Amino acid sequence: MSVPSTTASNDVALVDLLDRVISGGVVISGDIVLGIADVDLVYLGLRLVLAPAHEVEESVNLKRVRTS
Amino acid sequence: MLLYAVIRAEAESPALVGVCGGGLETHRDAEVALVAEACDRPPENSRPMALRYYEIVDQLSRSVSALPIRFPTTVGGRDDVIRELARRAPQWRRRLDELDGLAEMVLRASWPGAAATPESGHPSGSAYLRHRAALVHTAEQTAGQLERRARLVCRDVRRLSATQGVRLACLLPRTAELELRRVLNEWQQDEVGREVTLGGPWPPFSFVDVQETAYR
Repeated sequence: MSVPSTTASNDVALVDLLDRVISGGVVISGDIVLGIADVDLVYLGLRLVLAPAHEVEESVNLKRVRTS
Repeated sequence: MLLYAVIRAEAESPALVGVCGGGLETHRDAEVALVAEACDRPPENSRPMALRYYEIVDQLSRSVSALPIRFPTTVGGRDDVIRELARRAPQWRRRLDELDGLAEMVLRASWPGAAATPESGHPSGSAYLRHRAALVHTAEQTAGQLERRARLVCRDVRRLSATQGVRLACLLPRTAELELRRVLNEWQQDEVGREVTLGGPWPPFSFVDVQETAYR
């Protein structure tokens, strides 16, 4: 028995590949300054996190469990 | 600007067309460069677009050592690209050097019962919990065995989240794919009933950050 190659046409490989493209990779940080009429009011340091919906849901559920 | 990858400053990226239809631009710092594309609007967050993005990053990483950037990451303009480069250059350069010539493959292991639903008629709550504990135990045991085998070939191994079975990301030289298949074949023969599928090689999406936690 040999280890099957999963090719781009294979659904499993496609799911794994898309998962890596949107969940892996370098995460860029950013800054936002909120202001009104050219007056800076609030500075926010952000970490841009883009994740698939199911991971966000899992994360929210975990936090609920920890805080309950 | 849609960001694609970080490459070494001295590397020459191939001429590629991006997902927005424009040519890719290379913005250089002293140590590293960011490959980006000027887009009128953020790209559509769809499966075809993500796949097209992957194909471009893959082409890039087959030509030069590259840290892929998570899709879809956009910054306001060229000034933001330059600022990001200045801020992260030493860290990115170090990781680029460490990942030079390496790719990622994803191992997915499954076995009979790995996809079993827990709601299949347990007589009590404790029976249900015992069933769940057995599933978790099997998954942990399988992940440990597979990881030990994979580490014979992989430079690094990270566990990925999986709704059923086990998923591992393996960092390896592109030339070591056959050796990994051989090792996994042996594991399948030793562990009757276990099956492994292998995806990749892809750019090392799971290994760009040394601070990653074991489970994602």
